Amino acid sequence: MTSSTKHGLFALIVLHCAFAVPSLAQGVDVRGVVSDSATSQRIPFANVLVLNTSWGASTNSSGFYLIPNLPPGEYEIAASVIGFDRKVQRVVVSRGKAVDLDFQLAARPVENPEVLVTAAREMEVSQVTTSMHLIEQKEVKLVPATVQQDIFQSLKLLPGIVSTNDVSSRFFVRGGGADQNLVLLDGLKIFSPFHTMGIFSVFDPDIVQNVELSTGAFPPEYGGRLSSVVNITSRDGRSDRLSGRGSLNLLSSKLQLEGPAISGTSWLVNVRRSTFSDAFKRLVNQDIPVSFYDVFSKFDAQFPGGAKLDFSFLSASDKLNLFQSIQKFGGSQTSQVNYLWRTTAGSGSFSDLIGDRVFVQLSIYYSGYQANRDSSSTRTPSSTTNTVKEFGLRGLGTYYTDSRDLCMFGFEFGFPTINYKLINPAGKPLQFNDSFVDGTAWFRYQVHLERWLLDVGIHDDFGSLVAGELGLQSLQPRVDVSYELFGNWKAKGAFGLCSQRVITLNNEDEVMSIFDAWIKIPANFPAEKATHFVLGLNGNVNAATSLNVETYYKHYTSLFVYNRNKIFASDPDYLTGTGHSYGAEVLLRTRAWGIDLYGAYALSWTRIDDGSSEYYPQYDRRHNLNLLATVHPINDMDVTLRWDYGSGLPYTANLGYYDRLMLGGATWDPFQLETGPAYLALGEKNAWRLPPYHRLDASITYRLAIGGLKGTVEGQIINVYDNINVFYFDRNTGAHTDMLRFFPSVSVTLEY
Amino acid sequence: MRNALVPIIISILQAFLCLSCNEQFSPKAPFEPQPVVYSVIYTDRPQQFVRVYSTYDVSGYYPYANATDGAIAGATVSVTGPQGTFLFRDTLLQRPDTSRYKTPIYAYVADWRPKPGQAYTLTVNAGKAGSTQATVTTPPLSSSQYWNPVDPTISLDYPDTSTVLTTVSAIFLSSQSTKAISEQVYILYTVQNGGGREEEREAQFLGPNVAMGGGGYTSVWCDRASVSSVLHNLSKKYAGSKLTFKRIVFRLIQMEENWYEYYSIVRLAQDSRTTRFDQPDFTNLSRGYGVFGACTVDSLVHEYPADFRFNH
Repeated sequence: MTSSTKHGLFALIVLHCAFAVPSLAQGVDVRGVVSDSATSQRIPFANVLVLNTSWGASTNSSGFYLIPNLPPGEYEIAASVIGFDRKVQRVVVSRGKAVDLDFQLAARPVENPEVLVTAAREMEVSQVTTSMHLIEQKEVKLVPATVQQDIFQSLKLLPGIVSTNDVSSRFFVRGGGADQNLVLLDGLKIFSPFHTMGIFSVFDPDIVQNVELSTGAFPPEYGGRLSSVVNITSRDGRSDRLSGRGSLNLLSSKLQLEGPAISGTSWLVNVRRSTFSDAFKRLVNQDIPVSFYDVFSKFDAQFPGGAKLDFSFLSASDKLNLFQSIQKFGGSQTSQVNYLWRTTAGSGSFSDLIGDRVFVQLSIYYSGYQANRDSSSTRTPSSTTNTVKEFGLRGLGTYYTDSRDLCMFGFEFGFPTINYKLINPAGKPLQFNDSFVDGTAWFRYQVHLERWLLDVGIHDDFGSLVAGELGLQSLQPRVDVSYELFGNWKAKGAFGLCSQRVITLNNEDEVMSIFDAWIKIPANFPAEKATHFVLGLNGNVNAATSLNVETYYKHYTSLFVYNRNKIFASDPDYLTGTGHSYGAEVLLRTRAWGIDLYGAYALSWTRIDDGSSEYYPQYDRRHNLNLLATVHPINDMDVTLRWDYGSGLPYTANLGYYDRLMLGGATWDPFQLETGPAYLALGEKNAWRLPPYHRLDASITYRLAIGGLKGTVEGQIINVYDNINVFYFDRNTGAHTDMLRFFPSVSVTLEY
Repeated sequence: MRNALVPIIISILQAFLCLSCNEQFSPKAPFEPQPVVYSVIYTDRPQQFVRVYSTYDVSGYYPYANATDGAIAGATVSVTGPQGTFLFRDTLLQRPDTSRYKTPIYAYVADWRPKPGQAYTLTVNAGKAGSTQATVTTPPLSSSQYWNPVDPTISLDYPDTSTVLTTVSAIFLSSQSTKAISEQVYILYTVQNGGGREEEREAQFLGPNVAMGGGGYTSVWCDRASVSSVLHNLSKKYAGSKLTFKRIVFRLIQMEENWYEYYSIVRLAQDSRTTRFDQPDFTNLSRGYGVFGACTVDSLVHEYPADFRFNH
């Protein structure tokens, strides 16, 4: 798309908004918030419909809705959302005055099939959903708790998202690298969302309201990453009473407290720490030298009229201690290498309706990440420190037009500082500091046209434009279109350009990377860029079966890649390469023979071209399959099996050794008398595949209530058939650590 | 219905158990020996050497567990150039460093001196490790060589009469095809050893540092104080022996690209600015590892007179 075309599109959308304004006075707006009647927590993505009319709206992430321009009269308006009783209120709309109408919905138990099939359908009422998945907390909790309920365990059930051997934010979406995923918590960028070993994310499910996952051509409000966006919204604390929840199992322990502070306010504190290191050693004699903790706290205040103030804080840390060796003549030199990852993030945000039609949210935030590799060795692996600190300000706005169309816009100014200190292979300490402005602005317009739903917008990465790193390509159009075919079947397509200036570095020769360092792409290199194309089809096969099929093609027009032909020290370490990934995904949810079944399959190819050759990147995974089955033998009991399969990731194999002459004295002492040091011969880059990852987990969950206490008792078996999945392998020494082996566990959660 | 599911679930579990073969992963590919060949031909040497090896494997991950030098005996080694084809014969060389391998170095040698500016093709048939081939072109001789100052005796004989010059240098104009150069200055002398035999020895002032370059003027130099110091010290050291200073040599070694690329890549770990921890490799052999390189040697020589004042 040329720049003039982009500007034309932008102008068209602005004009559409402008023409919508004069018609404001023709009707009356009905607006309000939808919240939980017991806890007063706001409910996002609830449907608010004017009965017997075509008017309706959905609540936004703050639980706010606005039905514009309703003609005067008497109406019945219903609010509904999965997990709550539907509520209908009668309202009289008089000319000239907006009507404030809030809904308090009573929570009710949710059954699995409702979540698995119905929820997806409901969210599509108001949104184009190409490559977009929404998971609410209730779904996270109903997805099998084979190890422990977790957001990313739930996300891994979705097609196209792969997360194995996960350390330092390693999950792969549609052939994208681990650093190409944007993970947000209440708008905060989280640079390392995983705890080590990949069992848990740093987000306890009990703090989560919902998760939006976009696996391609994401909406214009998101940028800075090439492959996916995981947007997590935390929930508010209860404002009706003090409540607590405690959980203890062999993997981790947790304590959560929440309650009201003063009128209209609430708070929530969640603390979790690992316990499995000792447990594994004692029970299965497996040494898992890992420990972690995470703390999340939130304070929110709700004001009359829908205004809301939130403060969130997250702190998480992981430690991993390994012994790593260097092979030298006379024996290997073993050194203890201690890894530490730490995430600290906090934000404050205020949202309110400005004027009659514009809902705004302003946030200030800080996100910090630190990763240390503390080695007693001065050679590889040497001590390394990587820190990212980012302060920022973000503004989001939604303008409700007279029709159901939405006009959204926003901006963000981030001021990241990235520091990377390392001792390079020459033993020389190096330090890289980058401070820059990460400025973005975006505009988005959703319009309904008969059977069409059109969602167009533009994301402007003006930070890179000002820095001269992207030029006009900083203007990135995003288009998402769906068309109602028949019944509830929809065809959909999406297109988007995106860019990324902050990436991770690792040693591409490692069989598996354990330490990735965030850096800003040097100014003399272009930002990474990708163009997404997605086509799909979704609908319900019958009342109990939903199907979603998508295909995609992603063209990486610019990637920061290894200069594999580097020979001289003066040659650059990196070059600008290109690449592409493509594939297909199938997502099937059904209920048959009393079993809730869920299947997600993804097929993908990814190739990188570094200018001299093509190769599979380390994250190229051909097949990924997730199968899940849940039965309910008695009331309040779930029995779940989950099988996760991922075909092997590429690696470069060891071919053998040879003695490498240094030609050190070739000009003085004859080379023919040298005895060279042993050198590892590597094969073609990433031409081999790791063994497939597969694991079967099983769980039995029983929910109980004793007096005022509610709770669950869960019995879990991780890796039922004890498959060895490699977590880490040092090709030079053979030292390795496996993922979790067969491990039974019991956990008890109590809540008052 | 649920009762009927039990055998199905058991069958599925049994299938999963079969999946769990649990062979420990190893990043090693099945080992196939590859040829490893090293040869650098020099235009100033009457004998050229080739070393032929095979890659090796060890049971674990400690390569130094391999205590046997993997040299391949019985290989067919030849170099073909404008002068014809030279077959190499095997030979044993005394190994200076016996800390790892105790046996002598098994090498291939041919009596032959390559010419500057000529292409040579090395062909090695290493038996089970397979065959490999590489071609190099020796850099042409430098197109211009001269002393600066013009009369070297002023500054190279010690003590001399110069009160101005502090250094002495030889200027070479290296060829365009040269990728790296190395400079050397040394004095060649003979000294009578304990057995009464005269031994030829070298005393080096400069070198052999390797630098990227070629196609320009290079000054090979040393300072006069060093020359005088060496002459004085050797004369003093061998005061009771017959000592004869033969000549002082200013030498420029020109290396072609394959030699220099291999030389650079094995030293890439010394790159003080890199942030990479991978291990790149280079070879110009059609198969296997190692290098076939070539060096052309130019010299300017000042012969000391027979009655040089430090001779005794």
